[in-house]
Parts: sequence; C-alpha cells; structure tokens
Amino acid sequence: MSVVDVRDLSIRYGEITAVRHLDLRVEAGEVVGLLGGNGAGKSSTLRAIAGVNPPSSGTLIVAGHDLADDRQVDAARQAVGYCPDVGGLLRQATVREHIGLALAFRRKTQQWPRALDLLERFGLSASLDRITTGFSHGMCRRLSVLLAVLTAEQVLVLDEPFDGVDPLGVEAALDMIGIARRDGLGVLVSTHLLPVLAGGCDRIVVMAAGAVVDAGEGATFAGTEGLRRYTSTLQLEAP
Amino acid sequence: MITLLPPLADVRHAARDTGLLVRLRWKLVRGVGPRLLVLIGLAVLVGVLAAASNVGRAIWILAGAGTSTTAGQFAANYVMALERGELGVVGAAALGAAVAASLFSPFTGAASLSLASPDDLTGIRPARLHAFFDSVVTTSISTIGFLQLFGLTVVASLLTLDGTGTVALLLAWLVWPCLILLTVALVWGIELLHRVTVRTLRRAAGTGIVVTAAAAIVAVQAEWSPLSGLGGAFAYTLREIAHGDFGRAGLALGLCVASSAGLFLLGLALCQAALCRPARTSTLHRVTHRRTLAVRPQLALLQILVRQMTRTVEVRRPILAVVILGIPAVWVSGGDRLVMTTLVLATPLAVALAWGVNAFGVLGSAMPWLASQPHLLRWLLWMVTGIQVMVVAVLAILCWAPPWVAGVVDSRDIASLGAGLAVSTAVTTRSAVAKAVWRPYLTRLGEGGDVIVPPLAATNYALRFALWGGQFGVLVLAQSDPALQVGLVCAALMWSSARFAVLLGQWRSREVQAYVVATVAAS
Repeated sequence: MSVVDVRDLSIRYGEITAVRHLDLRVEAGEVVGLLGGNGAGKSSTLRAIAGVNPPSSGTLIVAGHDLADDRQVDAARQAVGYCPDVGGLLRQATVREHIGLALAFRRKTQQWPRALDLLERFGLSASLDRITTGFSHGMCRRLSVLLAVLTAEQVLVLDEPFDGVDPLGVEAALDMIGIARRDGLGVLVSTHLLPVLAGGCDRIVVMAAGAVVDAGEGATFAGTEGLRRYTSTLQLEAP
Repeated sequence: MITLLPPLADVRHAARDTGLLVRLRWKLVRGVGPRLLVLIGLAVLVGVLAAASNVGRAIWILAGAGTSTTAGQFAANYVMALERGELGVVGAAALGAAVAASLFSPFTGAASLSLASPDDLTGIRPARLHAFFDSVVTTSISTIGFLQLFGLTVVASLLTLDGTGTVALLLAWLVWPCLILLTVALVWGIELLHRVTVRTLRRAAGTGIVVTAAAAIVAVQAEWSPLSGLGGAFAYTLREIAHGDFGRAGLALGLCVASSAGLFLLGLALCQAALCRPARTSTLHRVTHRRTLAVRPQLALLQILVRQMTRTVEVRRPILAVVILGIPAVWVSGGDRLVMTTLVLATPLAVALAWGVNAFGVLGSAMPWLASQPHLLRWLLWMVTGIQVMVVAVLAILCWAPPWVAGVVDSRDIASLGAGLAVSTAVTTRSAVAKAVWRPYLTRLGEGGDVIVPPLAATNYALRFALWGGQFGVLVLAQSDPALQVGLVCAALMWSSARFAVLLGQWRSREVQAYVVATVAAS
C-alpha cells in the first residue's frame, strides 16, 4: 500500500520551477532515499509531502489524503512526522516544550514515556529543560529528528537528518529509521551522505533540476560502483 | 593593556567598511518596486521634516488671518503667550523628551541595531570597529532617531515664528547628532557592562540608570531642574537667536559641536573596550525551571507563544519600557490628558512594533516545523492577534488600575481612556497583523543586533500606526459625550473585525502561508 503517491508534481516559486513533473511512490514499510545536488528540488518535494508547501500542479496523496485539497491537508499533516532541512526549532523554547507542543497538536500526550525513551536514545535526556538557542547544530538536528519520529503515524520525512550530527547521532537516527520501517511507516530521507543512505534505504531516487534522473535499489548505490554511478549522473545532469 | 582610544587608521577603516555595508544594504533591496518604495519612504520623511520646520510659519499666518475661527484663536493665543515669554516649557519638554528617548532607547533595545547580523559578516570580516559606526547609522535612521529630529525641528519652528528661524533650526539640528551619539555611547556602555560584570550587578546598574532617567522625565513634567533647566536654556537660546543674538548662537553651536565630538570619542572608547572582551554567553546555555505545556493544543500554542515573547529580549524590552515609563507618569501626573493621550498612542504602538508587525519572524526558523503540525497555522494568526490585544490590556491595567483604585485618577477619565485605548488597539493591532502576513521579514533575534523589522520599515509603521489607529484613539478619548464614545468604539471594533475577517480568509490560503514560512525561515 502506498503511503506517499506523487504524480506529475510541479512546485513553482514565482518564476522558478523547483520541482517539475515528479513521480514518486513510497510504500508502507519502505525507506526511500532522495539524493541530488544542491537546488535539485529535494527539500521542496519533502516540504510539499509534509504539507508545508502547496503543490502548484499534479497529484500528491499522503496517507490517503489529497494535499491539493485544503480540507484534507490537516489529516495528511497528522500522519506525517517532518524534520525540516534547516532550523525547525523555536529559538527560545526548551526540549520539553517542543515535545509538549508536538504531542498536544497531535493529541498524543499519552506518548510522553515514548518521548523520554527517544530522548535517552538521542542523548538529549539531560537537556530536557534547556533552551535550544544554546544547542550545537548537531543537537538541534537530533531534536528535529526526534520530534519527527515521535509524531509520525504513517510517513516519516527527514530532510538532511545527518547534517552536522556525530556518529552516535547518525546511528540513533538510522535505528529510528529501522524501527519506523518495521512499524510499517513509509520513510523518505534526503541527505548527501551516499554511503549512509545506500546502507539504510530500500530504494534511492536521484533528482536533478527538479526531476527524477535516476532510481534504483539502495544496494545498487553501495560501494565505489554506486558512488561512480551517482557522481556520473550528477555530472551528466549538471547545468 | 587596552588603550583608551583606537588608532586613527582603525577608525578610518571602520568608517569606510560601514559605508560599504550601507551600500550593500541598498543593493540587497532588489527590484525597481522595493527600491521605489524605499525612496518614496525617504521622500515622505523629508517632506514631514520640511512640514515640521514650517509649523511656526503656519501658526503665524493663521494668527494674522484673524480670530474668527477656532484655529485662528488658538494661533493668536499661542503667539501672545510666546511674546509674553510663557512658552519656555515647550522647549523644555521637547529637549527633555528627546534626551529621555536617548537615555531609554538603549535599554529598550531599540538602539541596539546593526546593519547586518554578525553571522552574516563572519565571511566578510569588516573592521571590528564598524560596529560603532553601524550603531550611529542605524540609530540615526531608527524611529526614535527620526522622532527626535522631528521634535527638535517642530520646537525650533514654534519658538522662532516671529523672527529668524534658519540659525535656530541649524542649532536644533546640531543638537540631534549629540543625542544620537549619546544613545550610541550608552549602547556600548551597556554592552561593556554586559561583558565585564555579572548579571546581578548589571541589573542593579541598569535599574539605577533607568530610575534616574525616569526621575529626569518626572523632573521635566514638574518643571524642576536639571532637564527643564537645560530645556529652558535651550528654549531661551532659540528665542534669542530668533531675535538676532548671533553671538549666543555661535556659543550654542560651538557647545553642540564640542559635545558631539566628546560623545563620539566616548562612544568609540566604550565600543573598543567592549569589543576587546569576549562576547556575552550567559543566555546560550540557559536552563529553565521545568515548564510543561497544556494538553489542549490551542492553550499549548498560546503558552508557547507567550513564552517566546517573554524570553525574546528584543520583544520584551519595548513592552517593559511602557511599564517603566507609564506607571510613574500616571501616578505623578494624576492621569492628566497629556499622559492619557501619550499612552493611548504609545501602548498599542509599542506592542505592535515589538511583536505584531513580524510575529512570524520572531518564530523564525521554527515556522516550517510549525507549519507541518495539523491545525496549527489555522490557530496561529488568532493567537498572534490575541496575544497582542492581551498584552495591551495587561499594560493598561498595570498603568491605570492602581491609580484608579487609589483615587488618583477619576472614573470618568478611566472610561474615556478605555474607549480611546480600545479603538487605537483594535485598529493598530489589525494593521500590525496584516503587516506580519503581507510583509514578513527574516530576522535573527537574540544573536546580537538584529531587530524585529528593519529601521526604515519600523519608522514607516510607527508613523502609519500613530497617524491612523493612534489618532483615532485620541479622537475618541477627547470626546466628552459618553454615548458618542461608545458609538465610535463600536464602529471601530466592527470595522477592525470586518478587516480582520478578510485577513483571516486570506491567511487560509496555503500559498500565503507558504510565502510567510519561506520568508521568515530562509537560511
């Protein structure tokens, strides 16, 4: 069963077309990695799937809800846990307040024990009452991933979750992705770290200039061969 | 050992780099439309100043036209009072207000601006002392800086309407750089205090200075020395210049130039001393008490927004300034019409400029995450607006309820004040929230020097809000008929509600929401 079904999706910002005629499907229990150079349209795609940006044209069905229909957007958002590519945290709020707000809006406040368990796994339990302004970049990313994992019901969308995160943080995030897959969630991950992605993804999709230019099983992108395939694709598609 | 003053070459490089940053800021205003808007804004400000410098002439002409109209009577009374020498208090009040603004704005954070965020400059690496010249430029073009210049211009025009005004105007305009440099010296004094002292000592020093400044304002109102004495001398000098005493003018001009030079050097020395020390880090690793959120989503959102507001120093300070200035002003004056009018104008304005005009910018990079939460954006505009109204109500209660209970302020005055404040709050709040939706700004608050909205935009908003919602509120306050006041309040509330309903409809558009999110969370 597809939890994300994207057909002929285009996203435009005024004159600029960030995503053009994109087709993408993510099944329940599948992990799909998004690769591509800077400005390839990965973050725009993920933002649209998370219900942040509206699609300019095409069909975007998330957890059975059509994101082109304003009345279904909140239901789709309820199903998605989203970690944005940059920031994503309130500057003057504590970790506890971030979790409290996320759980309140999903009406899942009974999940606090799970949140505490996740905090332990991500090494953030000692920072529960710290204001995030003083966090390092890596700590902010960990918290963003944690919030996404905690709130995801059917789809987990992680945009650059490993950016600036230490190996323990990367391992914790990969563990979470594994658990999400086991629990039947569809997972979409965007990163520039090909080896991490190739090892943890069922399928990898390469984007360039807003369109899909290559796709294959995760294993086919592993090792030196995979890296060569990826870089040659990027070079071919470079403007 | 830190030398007191930086070498001349460093100062020159810093001034040059600030010039480059100003040019860069201008280049960052992309497109013909936005540039045209900035130029129109500047032209309007120049026009306002030109009008201010001719207020006296207008009164003179009105007085000469006869006393058959109310305006003519007022003008004739004014001219007669001036000739009897009874209007020294005008100069005292103007100078007092301008000096008070210079003393207070560093504490409200209104003067702690910079042309670019320090983060943006790490790659460019301008000369370190550019921060001083940045402060001078941004303070000069800030709302407070403009209002100081406007006030001094008006008073110079009013006090010289029966004589030569040009030299008096020049003197008034030379007082202005002194005030700007005083503000900048204080800004860097505070920064130095931040870097060399512990929090308790810093707060004690800050409180001491604020209380002293508040006492100075009270002294102006009660016509005591020292500020009213200085103001009186200022007014007397302007009158003498108007009547051709150019010797006195030369002395006053020389004093202004010498004061400016002294304050410039003091500011430079304080800036250098501050920059030689490590930046403050006290807020970076702050741990709060365990604070949970409500289970109900709307209440949780309200709580988190209020906490963002109270924890963000750039938002908190201007609001606290209303409390620090407003409460003593109401007690001392017994809630006279001038204080009432000022607070009807200033309270919603301060809250709008500190929060409402860019509330989404205050939330900043959290907006994409917030936007991905179900139902949150639908509530966000309501909450942002509600908080703005709530804060104005709390400020009004803090300023006016205790004097009313103590019998210092009359109940009828409180009713008029409530009517005026309701109108100015409704109109100003709606306008501010509309700005937040249609003109969001990327701002990095809490990182040293960034502001809610850019200085020119803030001046523009301040003038608009004061002349629109503020004036409407003052008009309602001035009515003596309660039935008319109630009617005007109902009309203003209905009008603002209708406009707010339209705004809510526009906010429901996901394109509009996405535009706001993309703007305030840009990396």
